[in-house]
Amino acid sequence: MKRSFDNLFPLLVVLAVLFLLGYPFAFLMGYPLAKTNLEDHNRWSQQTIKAFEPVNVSDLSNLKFTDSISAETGLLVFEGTPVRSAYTVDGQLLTLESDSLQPVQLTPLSGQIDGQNQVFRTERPTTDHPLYLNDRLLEPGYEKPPEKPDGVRLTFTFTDTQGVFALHGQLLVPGKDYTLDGTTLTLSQPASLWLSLRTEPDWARPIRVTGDYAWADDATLVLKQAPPAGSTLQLASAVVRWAQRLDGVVDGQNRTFHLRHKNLVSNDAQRQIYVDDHLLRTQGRRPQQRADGQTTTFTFPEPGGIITLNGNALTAGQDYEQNGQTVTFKQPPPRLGQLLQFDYVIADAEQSQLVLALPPASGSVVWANTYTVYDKPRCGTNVFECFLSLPQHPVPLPHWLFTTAPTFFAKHPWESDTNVVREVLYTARGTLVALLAGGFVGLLLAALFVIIRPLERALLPWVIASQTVPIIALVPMLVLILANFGITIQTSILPTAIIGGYLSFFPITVGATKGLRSVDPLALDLMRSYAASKWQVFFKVRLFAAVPFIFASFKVGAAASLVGTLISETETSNAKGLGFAILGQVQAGNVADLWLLFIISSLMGIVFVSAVGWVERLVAPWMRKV
Amino acid sequence: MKRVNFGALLGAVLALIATFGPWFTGTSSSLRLQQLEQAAWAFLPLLLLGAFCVLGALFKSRWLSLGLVLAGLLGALLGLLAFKDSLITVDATAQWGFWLNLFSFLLVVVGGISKLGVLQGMGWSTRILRDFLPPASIPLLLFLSWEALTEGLRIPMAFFPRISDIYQVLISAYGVLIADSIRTFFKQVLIGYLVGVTSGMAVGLVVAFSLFLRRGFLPLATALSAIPIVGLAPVLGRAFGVDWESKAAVAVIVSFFPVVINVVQGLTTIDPLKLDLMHSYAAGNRDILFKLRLPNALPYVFNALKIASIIVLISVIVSEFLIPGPPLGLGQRISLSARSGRYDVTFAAITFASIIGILFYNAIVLLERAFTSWHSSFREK
Amino acid sequence: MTEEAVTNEHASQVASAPIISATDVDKVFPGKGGQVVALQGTNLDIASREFVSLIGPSGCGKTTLLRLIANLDSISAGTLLVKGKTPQQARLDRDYGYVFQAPGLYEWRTVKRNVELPLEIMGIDKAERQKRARRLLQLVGLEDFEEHHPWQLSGGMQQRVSIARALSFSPSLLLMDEPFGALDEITREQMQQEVLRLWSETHTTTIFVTHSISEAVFLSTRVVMMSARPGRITEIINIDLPHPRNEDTRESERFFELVTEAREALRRSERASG
Repeated sequence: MKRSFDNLFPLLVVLAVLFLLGYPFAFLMGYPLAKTNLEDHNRWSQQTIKAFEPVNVSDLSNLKFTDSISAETGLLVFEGTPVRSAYTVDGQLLTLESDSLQPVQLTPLSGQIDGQNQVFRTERPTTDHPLYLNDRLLEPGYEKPPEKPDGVRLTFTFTDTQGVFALHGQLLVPGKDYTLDGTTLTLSQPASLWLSLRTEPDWARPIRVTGDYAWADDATLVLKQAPPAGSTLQLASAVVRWAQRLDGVVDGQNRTFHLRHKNLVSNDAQRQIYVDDHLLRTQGRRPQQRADGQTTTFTFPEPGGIITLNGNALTAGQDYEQNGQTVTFKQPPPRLGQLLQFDYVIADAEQSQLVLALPPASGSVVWANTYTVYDKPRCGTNVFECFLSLPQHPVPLPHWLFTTAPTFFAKHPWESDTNVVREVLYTARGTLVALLAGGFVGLLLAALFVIIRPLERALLPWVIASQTVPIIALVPMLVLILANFGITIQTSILPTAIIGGYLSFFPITVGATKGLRSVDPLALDLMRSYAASKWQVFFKVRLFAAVPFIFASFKVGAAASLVGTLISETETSNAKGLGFAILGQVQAGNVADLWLLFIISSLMGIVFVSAVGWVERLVAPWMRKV
Repeated sequence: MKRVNFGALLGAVLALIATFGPWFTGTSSSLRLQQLEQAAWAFLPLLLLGAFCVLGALFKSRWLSLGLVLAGLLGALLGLLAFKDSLITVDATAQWGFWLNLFSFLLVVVGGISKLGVLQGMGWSTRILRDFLPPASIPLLLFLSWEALTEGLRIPMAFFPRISDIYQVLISAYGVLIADSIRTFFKQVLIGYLVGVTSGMAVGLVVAFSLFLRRGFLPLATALSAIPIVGLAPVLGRAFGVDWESKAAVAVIVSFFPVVINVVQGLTTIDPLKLDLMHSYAAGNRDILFKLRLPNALPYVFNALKIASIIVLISVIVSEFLIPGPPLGLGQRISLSARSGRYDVTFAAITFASIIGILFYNAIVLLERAFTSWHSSFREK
Repeated sequence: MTEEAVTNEHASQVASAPIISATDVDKVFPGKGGQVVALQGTNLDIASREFVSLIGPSGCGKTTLLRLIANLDSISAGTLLVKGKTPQQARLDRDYGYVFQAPGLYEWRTVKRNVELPLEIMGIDKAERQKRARRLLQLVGLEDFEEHHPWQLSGGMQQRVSIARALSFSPSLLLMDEPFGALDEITREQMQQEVLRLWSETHTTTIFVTHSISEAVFLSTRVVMMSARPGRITEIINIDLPHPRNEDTRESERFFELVTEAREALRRSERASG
């Protein structure tokens, strides 16, 4: 007992150590991907910095904002124009010195406020004006599903089921107007084509209200929750907001400014930067002429502006001369080069640094109405968290093998061909047949080699060379040829036997030949003295001497025929067996399942090799290993 | 009578039937017929054959056996060329005369080889005839039969390529195949092999000196050496990505285990007498390691290196099948061409793979001879 | 030298401090069916410059005793002193050379390098090593085979190399375990002559294990009889044959007398142990 414990204990310790080492190994393999997720800005969540409205609009001379504000970093703007009148800022309160602002007209909406009605209408359609419920500013938000390319507007797929649904200015009633199956919405009636022709195409799709409210068409608001009776719902006519100033000296010469939040999203079309009340456009403007590698003179829509070639800003005076709208390049821009004229360019997106085309005159103010920056990584705050949140791990964490095993085995029922146990049995059958086939050929060849010496000399180098030919390449061809004779892998075990046997016959040939030759010369001489025939010598002496070698080579052959069988299962279109399962997991499927299959196939190999050992002990008990 | 080479004689008789038979049966099946009608040189193999058979019955000479082999090859080759020639005028599969012609001349070759195979002596001519010619003639027989079968049965190339097709690909696209080979071999096989072998030696060294590790790790290593590549490759593909690293990783693992097992075996399987000798010199562990264990282990190590060199190439190629990556490398070439029915390219790539495998293996054998020429296995006759 | 003088010389040497001193040495091996008592109550003193043979049937413990002296096995009970030290210390101090039953040459080394092996381990520099190896190979008559490999030599020649190797670091004690067992009669006698010559030239104390009575008598100054079950020393016979010994010695009457005496002693002990 102690001896088997002595032998088993170290093995268990080593296995345990390997198991534990699996954790740092999994982390190491997933580290590059996790690091990229952490550091690549494109994988970060985004935050939109907007000029925000005050909480109350009833009294414009005393505005209260949700956060504390400072006159250094921000300014009050009114409908896109900085407010020139003096005001004081104290914490969250802003007090206007004089009543210079036009009073904000609050338009009540038509619609019952009774605690149940969610739909409201306005006469003056404007989607930009803020909505106040009592004195609370409501946030709009909606989701528009992707357009169906076939135009049949019956089913739409959303990303969530929370919220209410609206279409064409109407609130959709669940059950009556639509049914929801998971995230797929099916309308009872297709969205009316007549309506969609008449209205904006955008409104012809149902929307899901994700925020406090959303515009269901030009003049209709749908609220997520019905406002309680007695509350007031009003649209503000004008827009008063607190906007951010840009950092930078305004002296008529400086053109470089910074936004206050770092990591600017470069391709943000919503960005609005103003100089006083003049909006700087984010889009570039094209010249009239096309760059063809020869033209040097181009006419742009505006005088001034920063000229970029393929995204890189060029320097006036150095790369080109500008005269009003005409720009003359020192070198003709290359063919198909993209020439654009910008009001400003982003010099450093990480530092949110902008370079304006024209330096703002002193006394003016540069401010941002809205812009988007990268906020933080989506996956977590450090590499480890990002590693854990990887959707696909290169190497699974060891304990997952145990947690996914039950689901893995239960995934397919026993009756189905894709049940794991059935697959294992199928592969085992193939391996056995392949081993027997290879063994037969191997032993036959070995016998021939021993009896006819010249044959060995002639064929052995080529037997060795045959193993350098990758049989996996010839499997499709072999299957095709056999199919021509009506032998398919579905109907017959022959293809598997050939492929597996091809891989296993070589070690058996080599081992058996060596074994048949490893006879004690004295024993051979003894046989000669008995005038025994060649066949008698073969069976009585050589075969027995060869037994240990034959069994050793059969062990190698068993592993090889398993490989061959698996290969034949991967390359053919027969949907059975472990090889097929592995192939399926390679293409889709989680990495823990793949490892489970790998472990199963390895265990199969071990079992087969051990089985040969047991057979040896049964058949040749005199070969007791010391 | 003992001198008569029955194989060759039978072959000669059949060749006669194949050549002249159609004249009597009236079938225009033997293409030799058309040749005979056109050129006298078509008689040459038959004449040579007859001469060698007769002389062989009268004299016993190795050169006559050599002559039989050459005559047989010549006859089969000419029959094949004649068939190809006749395809210009007639597009049909080969008839019985063609097959009998082929079979008979191949029989003659086998007859000649069997006589050459039992030559005695160590002279250089004997060695060439006995040790070199028989193995060298096998591929010639194989290629002739292959070409004859595919040509004679008019097998379409998408089904099974001809030797001539493969040859065409080899001479026209060898640049691509060489680039593939370089990528597959040097980047994936060689790097993986070297890493696997050196780490195997290091681990083997450590394991050999710890009984605990030997009990714990060695059974694991033996079991893990039975890992089917089909299970291993996808796992490594997921871990290392689809580029060359995963295939190199396959090579590392496949070469690691045989080396570890054999290194441990070599370091621990020592003649007790030699060890006692060291003890009697009160030799320190370092001396025992460097002067006894390591040299003793070298034959085992090389045994493992040889085994690993064969397995590693095939494993990398198979893993290129199973881990789809950039379409470069021999395995990918084989896979892509096989899937699109271009079997001539497949076989051309396989030829490259085989040649590389044979060269690699023999390089290791040369190294083995250089480092362990003292080992008894080199003295066995 | 006269017979008398030789005997006197030996007697005086025995009186001075013995090189080997065994007192009540036991050696027990644990076995499958119980313990095996290889040696029991062994007492033996060997003086410097002696040539002592240990002789007896199989299982009498002669090889075991030699291995105990060499510290290749450890004693179970009793005291064993080699040059006044423990066997382990003697081994660490490299006080003896051991010649095994088989040559045990390293196949990957040439003959010369095989002889140099102990010198390498003892850290002797290359020039000195080569000088000594050459000299010793000359001593055993194999100077022409320096660059050969072991397998290119016959069994007897290999055994000579192993003797040269054992002597390469000039130990004061030489232990030989049936070194000529695998050789034919004629080569054997030649080798015996060689060993005697070396002994007289180098004055190395030699302990020689053999199962050939004539060999023991021919070579030794004393012959120690041992018997089995349990292994022990039964008798010690002084060999007073004159030196130098040669073929004539083998045919002398005194030689036959001593051989007969030894044979009878062995038979007696055989009968006694049953």
